Amino acid sequence: MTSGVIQAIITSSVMLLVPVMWAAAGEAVGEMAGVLNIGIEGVMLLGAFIAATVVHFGGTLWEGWLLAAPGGMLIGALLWFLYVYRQCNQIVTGILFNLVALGVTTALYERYLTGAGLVTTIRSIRIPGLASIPWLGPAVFDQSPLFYLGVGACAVLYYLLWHTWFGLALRATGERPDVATAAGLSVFRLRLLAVVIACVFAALGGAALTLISTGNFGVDVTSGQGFIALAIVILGRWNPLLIVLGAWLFGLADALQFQLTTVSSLAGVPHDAWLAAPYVITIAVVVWARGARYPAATGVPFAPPTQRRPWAWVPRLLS
Amino acid sequence: MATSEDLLTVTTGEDVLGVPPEPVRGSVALRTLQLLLPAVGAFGVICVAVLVLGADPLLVLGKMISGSLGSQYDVSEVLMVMAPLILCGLAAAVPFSARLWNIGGDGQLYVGAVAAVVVGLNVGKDVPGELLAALCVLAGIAAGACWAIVAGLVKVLVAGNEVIVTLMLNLLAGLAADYVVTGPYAQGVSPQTKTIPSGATFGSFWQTGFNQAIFIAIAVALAVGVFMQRTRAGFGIRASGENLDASRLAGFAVHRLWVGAFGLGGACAGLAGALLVVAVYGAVIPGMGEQYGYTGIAVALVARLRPLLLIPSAALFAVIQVGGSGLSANAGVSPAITYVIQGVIVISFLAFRVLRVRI
Repeated sequence: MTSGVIQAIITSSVMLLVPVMWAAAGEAVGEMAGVLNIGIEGVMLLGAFIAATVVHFGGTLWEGWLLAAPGGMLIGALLWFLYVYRQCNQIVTGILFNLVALGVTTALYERYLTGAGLVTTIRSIRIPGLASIPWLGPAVFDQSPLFYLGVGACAVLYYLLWHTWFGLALRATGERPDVATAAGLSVFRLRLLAVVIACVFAALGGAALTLISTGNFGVDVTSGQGFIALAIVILGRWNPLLIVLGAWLFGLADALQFQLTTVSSLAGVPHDAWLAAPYVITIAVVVWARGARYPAATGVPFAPPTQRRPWAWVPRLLS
Repeated sequence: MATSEDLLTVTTGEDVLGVPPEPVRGSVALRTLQLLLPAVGAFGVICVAVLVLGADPLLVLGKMISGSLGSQYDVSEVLMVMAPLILCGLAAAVPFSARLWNIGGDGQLYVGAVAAVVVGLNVGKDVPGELLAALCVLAGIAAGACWAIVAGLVKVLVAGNEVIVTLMLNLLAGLAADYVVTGPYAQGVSPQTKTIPSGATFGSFWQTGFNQAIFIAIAVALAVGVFMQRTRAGFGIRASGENLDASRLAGFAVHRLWVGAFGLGGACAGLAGALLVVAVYGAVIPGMGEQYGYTGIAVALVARLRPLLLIPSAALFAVIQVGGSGLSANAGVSPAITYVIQGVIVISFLAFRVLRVRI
């Protein structure tokens, strides 16, 4: 294996980690507040679709990426209504949401976007000086701006979760929602913020998938990346900074799959075996992380003891 | 901590689906309204989706009904689709009863199909057809069960998240199917494996896809229903979903039951895959199971996880699926709209708490 191949693997591994890094960082916030969003795959798919649609109908690449954020907000509000407000089972609702998202994007894609292709992806920005560090420089400091923004966003989330009053409240909501309620916090409102953050990040990650890695939208373009993000959250122990490293492991698995198929001495290995690598690693992560503990209330719907709301008669009618 | 009272009544305040039970109060009119609201809501959302796709919702509805119930051929298609839907519903319903979220019906179906084809192509032509069919089906059942037990073992031994593991196993099974389709067993002409000897495949009634598979599926649903309701192990599986502490204190080997629940569910999905091979396609075809694995979860939820109710529930979803598959030709709408229809209906019934699981 030549040094050129190794450099290419390292560089593309950093490029490929961007979508899952965004998605996993947001998901960590959601899980910290007690919402396990299995629907993350569907949110990523919708984000990727929004970006592709905006670009197809004449928007710039940046407009495509940024408009995934309001889309993610709306999706987050919907999922909050189901997961938190209506207290649906988060796992089955998330899986069904993925089904709906797959159906919506596939049907709309076949109706309006077939044959459309983005030929350009967001150009990478070279940071002078740092980019000439051997090995690391071209990989980390000559990357898409979405990578820099993502690492910055992870740092912001880390500060938010662990060094602010808001983060403390959010984590309390995810560990003991009853205690948080007794302390005067609104579990519903905090979880609304958390789910919206999770979905905005997942949608931006999905959009990044369209705009960096694939350069196009296709049916089921995410192919399990959202679920991989769920494992990265465990690997990073709900810490957005460690999640960057965890995401890099999966970027590396992806990059190996792309690069090693071109190495002639490994030609006998079937292509599907390379494709399987990220999924096998994901299972290995779940098995290996046996000490990892989800926040206690993650995935458990919470019914506040008293619901004093002016529109309280509406849910009473509906339920 | 569980008290002795829990041992007497193995119930908690919460359903398996996580929806706190609310006693149904009020007049008949109000209760009917409660039932109608989610139906109307789901219908509205689906109509909007169809309008966005540029089609007439009423036309689409008409085409779906005429395309699934309009002729003998269409009805037999519905019966054909029902068989794997019942079995994939069982693959979800049995583990869900124990609060084990087996999302892996899709992957278990694919490994079942792959195992059936591998056995069917390798066992040899001297074996009589009926025996070969039985061997294929058994291989599919075994493969599906093993595939699911992997997730069960991860859950039991390291307390790993079974949702993530089953989802990854789905993707891996999809790759395995892709490998047999393109690799050693490739047929060469069209993207599928070689077909198994014709003696091993089921015939068909009425010159259509309708054959014995549906009766096998119904028989399995009855058997699993009896198992879940009338045996100690079945009760233990349900009890561990209702109240884990109480079922432990009552002496159930909960971990063994959990692995068994995964194995039984996986066996059903593997059987679905094997039946798709011996009864429908005779080969592994890319995407052959894509509309069954995840839809099986919806089928199980609508059936409230009861094996016997899976039969009408699967019939409903089969009608939607068969009606939807012809839409691209009849109404210019992608068949992917069936995912939206199925998902929106079940989500709205979950959100309005019409669907509850009482065990």
